[in-house]
Amino acid sequence: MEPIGLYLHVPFCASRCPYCDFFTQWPVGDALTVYAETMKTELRDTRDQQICADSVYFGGGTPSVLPGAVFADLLSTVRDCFTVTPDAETTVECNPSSDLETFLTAAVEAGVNRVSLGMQSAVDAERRKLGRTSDRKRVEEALSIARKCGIQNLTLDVMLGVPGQTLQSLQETLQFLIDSGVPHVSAYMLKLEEGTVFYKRAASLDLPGEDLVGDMYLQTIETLEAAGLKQYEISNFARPGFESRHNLKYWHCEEYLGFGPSAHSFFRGERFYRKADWEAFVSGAPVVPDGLGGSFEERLMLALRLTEGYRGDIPDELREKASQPLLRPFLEVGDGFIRLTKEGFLVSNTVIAELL
Amino acid sequence: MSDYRNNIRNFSIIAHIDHGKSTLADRMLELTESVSKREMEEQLLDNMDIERERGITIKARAVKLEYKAQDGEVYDLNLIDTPGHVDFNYEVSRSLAACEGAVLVVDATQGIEAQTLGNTYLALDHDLEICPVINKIDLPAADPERVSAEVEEVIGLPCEEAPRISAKTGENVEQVLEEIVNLVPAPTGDPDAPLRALIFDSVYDSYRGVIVYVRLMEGTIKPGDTMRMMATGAEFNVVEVGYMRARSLEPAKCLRAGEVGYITASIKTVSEARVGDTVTLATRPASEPLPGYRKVNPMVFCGVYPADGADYENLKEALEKLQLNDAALSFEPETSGALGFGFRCGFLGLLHLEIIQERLEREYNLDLVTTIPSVIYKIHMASGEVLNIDNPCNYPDPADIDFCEEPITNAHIFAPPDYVGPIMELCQERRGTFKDMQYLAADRVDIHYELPLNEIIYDFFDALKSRTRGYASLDYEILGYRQSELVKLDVLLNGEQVDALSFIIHQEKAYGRARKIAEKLKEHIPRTLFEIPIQIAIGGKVIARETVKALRKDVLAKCYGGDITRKKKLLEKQKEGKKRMRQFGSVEVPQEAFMAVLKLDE
Repeated sequence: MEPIGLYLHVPFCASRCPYCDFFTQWPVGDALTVYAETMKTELRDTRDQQICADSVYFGGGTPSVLPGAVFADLLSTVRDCFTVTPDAETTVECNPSSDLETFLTAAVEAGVNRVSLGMQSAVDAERRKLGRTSDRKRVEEALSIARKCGIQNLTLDVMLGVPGQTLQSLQETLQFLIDSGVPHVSAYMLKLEEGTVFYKRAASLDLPGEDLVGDMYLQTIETLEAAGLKQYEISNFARPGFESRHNLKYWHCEEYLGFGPSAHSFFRGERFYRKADWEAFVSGAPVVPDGLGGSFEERLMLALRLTEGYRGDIPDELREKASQPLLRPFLEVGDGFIRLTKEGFLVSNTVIAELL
Repeated sequence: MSDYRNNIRNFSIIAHIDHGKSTLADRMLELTESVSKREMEEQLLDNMDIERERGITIKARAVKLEYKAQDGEVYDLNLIDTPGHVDFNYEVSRSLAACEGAVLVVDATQGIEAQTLGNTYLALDHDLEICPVINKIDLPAADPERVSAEVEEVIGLPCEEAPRISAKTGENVEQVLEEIVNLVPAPTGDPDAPLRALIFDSVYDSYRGVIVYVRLMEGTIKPGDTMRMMATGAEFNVVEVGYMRARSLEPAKCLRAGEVGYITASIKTVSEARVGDTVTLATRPASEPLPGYRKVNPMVFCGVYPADGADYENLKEALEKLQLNDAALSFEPETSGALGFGFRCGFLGLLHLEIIQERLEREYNLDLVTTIPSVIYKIHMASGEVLNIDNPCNYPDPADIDFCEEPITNAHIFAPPDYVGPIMELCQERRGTFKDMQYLAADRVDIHYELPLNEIIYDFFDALKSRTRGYASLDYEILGYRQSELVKLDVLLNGEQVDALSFIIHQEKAYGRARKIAEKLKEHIPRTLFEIPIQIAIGGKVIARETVKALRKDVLAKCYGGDITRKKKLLEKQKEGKKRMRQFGSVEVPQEAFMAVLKLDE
């Protein structure tokens, strides 16, 4: 059996960012203890040493709000329940404003070898509008703490199209990414999700227009690639060998198991998820089936997010659709592959919807 | 034996929209115990969903009430309900012709409105005895004295004795019934004369065929008789006659002069029992029909297309079913290069159009695309030929046209004097010709304009309401045709003409409207992978232009904890959205774009 990925959702945040609709809550009362115990129960209920994992990913929320001991205990439970390969990519998402000195010392000790820092922007004015409480200096400190703890495999998250952003201010953020020397970067375009503060206040946000955001995206690709951070997915860039093993599993339609509220799984051909609901989580509600995974359409839709695109036989019908004049500028079709161009990435929704 | 006619009263209730006509009818049903309170559904007389939601009565209904009056006698009160909107003026006039009296309901908080007066004049035309009633006295803003003075002054009806009621609470409603007994004359007419019965409504019932609602003026009819429609000459065998009760039809041995009742005779469509026609007997026909019949002609036309071409047959069936009950609705097949197969439908007015559209969507679950409504233009060709054009697609080459005519209406707008300015401005914008202005009372002005019908059918009601905060009311009738400078506007998307968006307009307004249409289309056509030029042209000349820029950014956001399904659903939604769009050459136009072009003033 191929090694799979393991995802653990940590549904806590010290503060709520106004653009985020992920499932989180405040780590108050005995919530942390209840969380840790419930996670361990979920893991033990799925326990199977036959299952081999070469990636463990702690996402959130903000995993770095967990006390180091709680985190270490969780990761050791993961190792008890599944066969985690010695070279497994073990990532934890961190917020620069957490007490990283304490947390990362424990996390690295427990086996973490990759750290993802949610920076969002190197421009403090932009960071404030995004609800990030730490400043740029704090991000620099966080990076040096991580390195001091022995982590070289670092990734920074940034956002494009945030309130007040211009091409100049973006350049500042990109320069920061390059100067920091991190081997991996994720750059996501801000999307207004229903139910968030940003969604309600959209009109008053001073958001850059569609065309400007398009320019920002292309500038990001160009600047990062020139600095050796090669784009390998719509929103992800890495020095060779530092591509995220965990995220590639999603795009390669490989299997993974998710734990914790709102975590999704694709396992033994089936997709299922755990409810984004604290009560359901605590009471041990069963997973919710989400249909079969791995169809051709699904693999195509996912693979087209990668710069290498979809590799395999291209059915005639798809080849025909891809060759219509309308789509031609956005696609490259060759022998055994189909992929989006950089302009194609920008309108990938429309193009993929046309193809499916 | 005393004359049966002495204990019959035939009456209507007339009122402006929302002045409480239906509520009063409900209370009357309760008071005469035609319906018990427990069974009482709000506004029983209006039994279509849409009527209830819009608070207006679309089709006339009638009911017989038995009332024991203070004089100890039991009276048959035949209440004939009337539609409350200008689109249905003809139906109103037929209902009134079936009565000897009318209860005029006036809102004690609002006073006389356009349709109060319009309907009162109609009732006076039919020599009806009018019993004014001041309603809604339970409301804090009610001023019954002021309103009754207004009625006396404007209409010339003595109002001192008029019942002050609250149809809502039931207060003093019995007084209204007494007024009807005392003031409305009993019907006359010889039951032994040749039959003359006025059809004031007809409804289709899938079991019995058409149920014809009649008022017998003279003569008698009974099952087994052969009846004849005097206008169409059609003959039918009478199966059943009887009275309309609140909850059911009550069969009777016969109907006699002066009575209101129903006839069934295996009639297949309502167009064979047209409102206003006279029923007589084949064996002993009357020599003259009752006066006032005319075939109602549609005034407003538009194309109605199924959003999904596969629904064409369903749309056809639905229209056929609606037509069984609505002789004023016309339709014939039409093809549009852009919209495919559909129907050109004719309506009495814009409200009628909206009601039919809503019923098709709601009751028949159809997704529709409707084109811009049009009136009938008379195009005089250089050859001398005159074309009646209700579809812009049939508009001839301007070079062959001598001159054009368009329908003009006589419009009365009632409003408080504060709004005279904005109203006159609106009427001027809509090419109105000012005729007259009268102060009906200190706070009520009647502004009289001649307005082209095609200006009224473009959102005139909405514009009037928004400019007068809902205080103005409108009544209009068709005056005739008048020469006019018309042009046809064409819309081109990416160089291709969209026939469904063409329309005919007065030359003066062409530029302004073209600009607005271009802007609206730009706003509503989603950006796609290529740039779309929007052009509005007269003949070959482009008079307005906009561009929908090519789509720049459309990327799915971050993958949330491996949630692939969310992405899949987003893509599926995007594909679904495409299905609801119309393909014009290479351009896809969402339905909202059509709607937006319709309602330019918003």
